Amino acid sequence: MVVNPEGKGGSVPARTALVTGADRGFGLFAARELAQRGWLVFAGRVLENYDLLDRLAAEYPLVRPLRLDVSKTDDIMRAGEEIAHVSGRLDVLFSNAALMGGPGASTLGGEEPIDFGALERDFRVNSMAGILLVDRLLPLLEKGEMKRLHFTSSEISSLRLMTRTGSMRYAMTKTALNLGVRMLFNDLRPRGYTFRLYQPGGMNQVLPDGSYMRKTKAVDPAESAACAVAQLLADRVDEDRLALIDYHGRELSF
Amino acid sequence: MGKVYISSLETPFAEKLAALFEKDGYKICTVPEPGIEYFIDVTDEEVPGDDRKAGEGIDADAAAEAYRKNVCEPLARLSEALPGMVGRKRICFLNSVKSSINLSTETSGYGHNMSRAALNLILVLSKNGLAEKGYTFRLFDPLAGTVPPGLAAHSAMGYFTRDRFADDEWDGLGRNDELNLVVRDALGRELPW
Ligand SMILES: NC(=O)c1ccc[n+]([C@@H]2O[C@H](COP(=O)([O-])OP(=O)(O)OC[C@H]3O[C@@H](n4cnc5c(N)ncnc54)[C@H](OP(=O)(O)O)[C@@H]3O)[C@@H](O)[C@H]2O)c1
Repeated sequence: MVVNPEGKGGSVPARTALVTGADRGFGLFAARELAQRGWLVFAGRVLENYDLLDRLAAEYPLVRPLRLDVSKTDDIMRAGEEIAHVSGRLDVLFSNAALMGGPGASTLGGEEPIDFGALERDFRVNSMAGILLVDRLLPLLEKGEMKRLHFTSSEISSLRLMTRTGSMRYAMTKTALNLGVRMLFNDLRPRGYTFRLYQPGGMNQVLPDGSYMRKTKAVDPAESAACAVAQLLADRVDEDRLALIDYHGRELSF
Repeated sequence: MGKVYISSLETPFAEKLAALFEKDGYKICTVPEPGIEYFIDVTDEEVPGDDRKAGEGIDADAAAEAYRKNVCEPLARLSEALPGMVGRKRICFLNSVKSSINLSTETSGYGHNMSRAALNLILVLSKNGLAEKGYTFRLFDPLAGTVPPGLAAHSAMGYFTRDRFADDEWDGLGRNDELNLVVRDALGRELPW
């Protein structure tokens, strides 16, 4: 495929993806994986203190950072306008941005009262935003050739496998996300869309200088992103069933 | 006399369920107070504007309001009641197949259905933490619109008040069905998550 992100010169435009939460970590590496394969990648950012995405864009001109707080409809609309202007279509949505903790208690019957404001905020970002992105960007996805929707979920979303005893906030957002993706699947699979619901594994966090905060037994986000993009781009024999799949390609119960 | 908290008596299902408990000698309260044996939350709130399909302009604020009504407000009431609960310390909520990741066929009502999927997870996780303090949990689908509310209330009464199997008097292998929280519907069927 001829790469031509600006759409000038009459060549075939590159396949186009939007990756959210690409400031660092898994999203950043997913953007890199796609750019390495010649994709035009719009990479959503929210962090001011991280320049990893700028460095990636300097290395891969196919990466185009854009400001995108996924919980803000105005940001989504502006991103849509930019994508429409540059490429006119979207082949892949890679919905990945998430809040992963922070202060605020969320244990029923715990010592501290539940922080309901934090609960609602995380539901908006981790659960609803992926649905909103599809909703607002559907006209661009309709013009895309691939019509493939990736959502980064987690093993912690699994009701069947849940063994935790407290701190409900993050886990419940990913269960809600899975249900939202099921509803999108009900609606859009008959229209040709295909879905990836991905469990990336417990990952090492990336610090502003690009180094890792290492957790024991954690997977490297670059490695998990490579698996995610391989799963994203390969067609599956079972596209008509929604499956939560991990970085080894193993399936998890909902 | 035991006390049963029911979050609202405004639906025919809740009204009939309250009548069944009263007949059994329970006192009904609609505000959390000390001494509750059954905490029954019958919330199932749909919010105007939370009815759109993808591409129709899904309303994030309506979805957040559905989350507040179906998750935050019930949890706030439960947090208040929890320390004073007695006896079976049974926590009962309603849910439905619309929030089953395995079985949902819905294409609209994102805020409502996703909130109630979140609620399922919250109850499973909280059950893991609270079981050792003697709390027990029930999740029930009254099959509203399919099963008459009176019949659903009888069904709920049986499911809420009956204890579940534990093999402590049998082979002592530690199997305890109380730890296995599932949604059961008014016809006794177990819904997959
Ligand atoms: N790390 C793990 O062990 C693990 C395990 C299972 C699943 N996951 C999932 O994998 C994905 C990537 O995780 P990661 O480890 O790479 O996390 P990460 O390093 O925190 O990356 C997530 C990115 O999303 C951003 N973000 C937060 N709120 C946003 C918003 N409203 N709009 C746009 N971006 C926003 C974060 O920015 P801020 O720093 O400002 O929040 C962060 O840059 C997430 O969906 C996460 O839930 C992670």
